[in-house]
Amino acid sequence: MVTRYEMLERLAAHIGDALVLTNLKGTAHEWHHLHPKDSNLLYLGLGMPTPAALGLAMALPHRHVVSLDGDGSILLDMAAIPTVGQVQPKNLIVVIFDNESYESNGALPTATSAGTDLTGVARSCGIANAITATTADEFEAAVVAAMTTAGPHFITAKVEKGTRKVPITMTYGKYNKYVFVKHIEQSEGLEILRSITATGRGYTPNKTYYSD
Amino acid sequence: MQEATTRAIVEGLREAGIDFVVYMPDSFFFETINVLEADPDFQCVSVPNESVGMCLAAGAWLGGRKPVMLMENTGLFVAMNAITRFHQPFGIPVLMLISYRGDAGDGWWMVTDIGHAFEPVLRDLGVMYERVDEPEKARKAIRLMQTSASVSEELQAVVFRKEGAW
Repeated sequence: MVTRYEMLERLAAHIGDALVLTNLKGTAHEWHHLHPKDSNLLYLGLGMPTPAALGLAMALPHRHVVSLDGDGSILLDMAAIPTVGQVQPKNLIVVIFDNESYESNGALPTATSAGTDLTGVARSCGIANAITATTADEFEAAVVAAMTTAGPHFITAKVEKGTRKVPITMTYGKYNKYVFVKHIEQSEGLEILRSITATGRGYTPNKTYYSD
Repeated sequence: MQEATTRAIVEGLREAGIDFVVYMPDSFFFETINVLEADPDFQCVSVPNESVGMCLAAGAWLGGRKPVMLMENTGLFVAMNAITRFHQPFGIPVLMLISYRGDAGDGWWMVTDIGHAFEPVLRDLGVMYERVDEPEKARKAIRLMQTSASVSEELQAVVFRKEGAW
């Protein structure tokens, strides 16, 4: 069986300027090591990467948004999957790295180890482009298809347990958010953060900038 | 809900610059939701639970939208994990409009305990909120709380009480 790291290497080769949200620990560390870009928002908690990526994909429908999620995470809140099926965002790519375990806290088994088929769930929720990849080549082909055809795309990547011992560079969530949003502001020509809180001269700012 | 409250909410959201509405259908907001869904100024999305909804709204904010989440107060408890693990540690502002089930005068026995816990939990979370108990207060409360959300990059809420607003 293939490692998640090998699959992430293949993903990094095709990612372009896509925005990437990841779940916790191993996936975040490996991805940031392979692709240390401002376009990464790392370390979202269980159940959060995919719905957050969906909202981002809806906000920026012309840009690819990738959720790097895990089986334990998506199982915590499977309601994200029918929501993707309902919205049908053409630019969203959901990747579930399925190692059939809660690896980051002891590797106890998840329901996928007993047969839960996440790709089947995605298909039954109306995500037609749902596929299971069991080799790096299958995964790369799925990524290329996802980057070149309309989505939503849902890729269950079956991987072995284990995390590559890459150097870990973590930041606080707020710092990561500012870097990520600044990247979106600059690449999209948007103003999202309130960088100007007051204007005026001397001691008293122009009140229109700080009153409601 | 009173028709006047719906009007005040919609105008308040418009004035606050809200352009992205996430909602978990509930018995208080459903008429407002129908109005918002028909209004081209708002992109609306229905979600199956409030945790998914709050994460989706956060993602929309990251992409430059101004989101609001409409939900019953029971949904605050469903969304608690996302709020404390995502919105708060990352500093993601989402305006929440919350109907106050279990408030004084609510005749449904099942929501009494939610009513007891609701405001203490909001305060313990550090979520600033305004209480609306008559329709005309909604418009200004929404505008004020959205300003606070934008400046603080924190969650803010407008709470719709049983008496007066429903």
